Amino acid sequence: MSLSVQERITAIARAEPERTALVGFDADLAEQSVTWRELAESVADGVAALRAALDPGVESCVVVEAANTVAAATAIAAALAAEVAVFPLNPATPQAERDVLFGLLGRRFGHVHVVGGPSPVATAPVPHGEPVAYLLATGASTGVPKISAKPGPLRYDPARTPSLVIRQTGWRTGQRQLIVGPLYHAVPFTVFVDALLDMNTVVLQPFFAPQWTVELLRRHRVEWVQLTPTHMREILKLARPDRESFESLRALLHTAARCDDDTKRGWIDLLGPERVFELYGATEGIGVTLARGDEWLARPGTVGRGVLTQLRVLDDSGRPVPPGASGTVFMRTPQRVGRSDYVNDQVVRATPDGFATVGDRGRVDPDGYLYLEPRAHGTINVGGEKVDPDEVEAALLAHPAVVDAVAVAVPHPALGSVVGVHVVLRPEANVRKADLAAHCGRRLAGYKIPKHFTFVDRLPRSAAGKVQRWRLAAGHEGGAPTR
Amino acid sequence: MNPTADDVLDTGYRHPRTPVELWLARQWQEVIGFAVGVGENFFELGGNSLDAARVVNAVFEEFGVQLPLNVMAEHPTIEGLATRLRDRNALLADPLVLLQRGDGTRPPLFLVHPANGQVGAYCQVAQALGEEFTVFGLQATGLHADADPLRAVPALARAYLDAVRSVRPTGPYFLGGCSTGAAIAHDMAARLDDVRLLAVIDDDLVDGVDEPGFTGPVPDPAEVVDRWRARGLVPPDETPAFVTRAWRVWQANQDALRDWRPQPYRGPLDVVRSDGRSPIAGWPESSVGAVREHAGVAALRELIG
Repeated sequence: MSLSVQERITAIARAEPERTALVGFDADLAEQSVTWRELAESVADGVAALRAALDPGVESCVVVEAANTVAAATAIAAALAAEVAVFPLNPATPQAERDVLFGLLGRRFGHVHVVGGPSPVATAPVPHGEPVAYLLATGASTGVPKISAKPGPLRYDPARTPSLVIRQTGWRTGQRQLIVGPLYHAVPFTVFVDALLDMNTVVLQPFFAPQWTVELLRRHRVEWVQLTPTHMREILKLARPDRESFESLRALLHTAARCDDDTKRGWIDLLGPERVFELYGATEGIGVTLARGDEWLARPGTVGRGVLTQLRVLDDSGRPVPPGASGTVFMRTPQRVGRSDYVNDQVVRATPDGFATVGDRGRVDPDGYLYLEPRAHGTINVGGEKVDPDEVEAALLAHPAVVDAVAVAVPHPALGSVVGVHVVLRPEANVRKADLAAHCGRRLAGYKIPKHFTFVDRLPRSAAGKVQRWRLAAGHEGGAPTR
Repeated sequence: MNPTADDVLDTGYRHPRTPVELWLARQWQEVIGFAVGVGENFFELGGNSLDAARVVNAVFEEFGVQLPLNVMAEHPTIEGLATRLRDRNALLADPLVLLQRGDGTRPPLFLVHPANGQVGAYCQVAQALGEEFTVFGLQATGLHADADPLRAVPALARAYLDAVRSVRPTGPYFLGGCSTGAAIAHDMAARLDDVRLLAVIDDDLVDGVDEPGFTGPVPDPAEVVDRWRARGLVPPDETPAFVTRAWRVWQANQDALRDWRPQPYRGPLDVVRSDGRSPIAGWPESSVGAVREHAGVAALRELIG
């Protein structure tokens, strides 16, 4: 059995018309609730509107300003149902960046139609390519926008929706899910699409606030949630949650960035190891690994084993490394399911037999568990000594006053660079830089102790939780603090 | 997630107490990158051998003393290194002490000593303002050399104005202080044009600003210096002679405050107060124009520059 998105939504609405599909919040944060019957009607209206607005002779894409609202979620659903490629856009994207993104889209699509915006502007005719279900911006941590395209159209197949990987994270058909990350990011977007096809009740949190997230999980008896390590850390440190708030939760899935050990253990303590899942896999869809909390406890630091994914670690000349040795991590999935190709001619590096990499380095243990190394471009070189920023950040995060931290290289006349850190302190904290340095000094070798501390209200993280290190480069606002 | 014993939020900052410690603390701050207490270990805070060499070099340039390059390994704290330079305190007897060299984007703040004549406690005010602020202290004469302390607010104000003008000949001026220092700053402000800030800071907001202090005459300076050393109020090698001088300074400041006849100052008074009694509660009404109250020292950031 295989259904189109529109058929699936219609079928759910017919079977369970009064079941809640979406819970969102308006501008005044008043709660709004939409049933599956109402959602199906809105989607049908949206599909009709798109058909009227778009020229069927031109391959089009639809841009949705994807705040976490009922309106944006409905617009995404309508575009998927209309089988028009949909691109969820960060509503805060400045015009210059929009121009770049729309330019990229215009290379592939004849019309770029912004929902609620002016009529589409036709670009030069483009030959029809393979159909596209949706488009996602990636490269948030490098600052160079890339767009990956998911081949379409989407189909609902009870055996394959959601993917086997997600099925293994405690997902159940018809569950209540909270979406915290923004819909314009890959993981929140894809789990929303799965939720739509799998009859979830989706609670959309418009912006992250740790206490509120805990409150929504409790009040809506949420069963499944995806969070980033930053969300997890802030909830632990700022919301001080109790176990009762998470009674209904079957699974927490975290993705996007390395989770420091204290945060991971804190959540395993709260939920138990069987309810904490970590997923490693790039937006590019070349493969994924999954680690459940008990696997992580047995092998701290692992990001898990490949799921429908073969792992291969290769050296710089492309030869397999000996078992347990480090190299570049390549992955291969048997199907091209979930595999996306870049719109702007940037292709992931691949071997002739179909193993591909996004450039991460790591090693695989004899049981097939993958351990990642810090990305080379983040390493800080202090007078020839290599400093792993993750290690510095983990040391800082172990301080009770520190909510978030990122370490970067700061130029130094004699040493080339030294460690600088940007630190978010707990609001009521009264802590000196020397206290933090001494705290690091008890955990790290001297050359790893930060020399520059900048206190900030928040770090420039992409909404997916990755630190945008390029925003912290020396010379940038706050990047190279005074003495 | 449970904080361990060494994870207490404050590792016990102790401010510098002597002119040499004040000078070293500033060098360390400039070399290491952030403010450091007198008991903290240079290397455990990330100072490296290059940084240590810079400190040794700065000591040579300031005092003409060539310390061995490995002196910091032996004396990794400000308190320890200062013992090697103890006889240089008298050289740093000038009333004006640079507590924090800002980045030059803000006009300097001048803070006048409280009753004990010392300015080390003001280092915390400088830190609360932020490293971009330049902060000078005005310390009493006669603490580290056998000079007679000044005994009247107008005389103190005139002497400190000369010192202020030596680094900042024209306004705008930003002044402040705790207790006796606030009274002297008020007198200075009344004699200056273009005063943009006159800050009266509650003693309760600055740790240890009234220590060491006296409750009465000292029968036995040797016993007192032992007590002060035990409490860390003076360096471990301080002598009874310091207690005798400190008592004279204290007495002089008490006399000055008692005899103070405030001149009219019509600019606004910025009072930084805690929950307790207002620090200007005892001031004559005629001396005070508009009063603006602030809840913490950091509030002064907005008022400077």
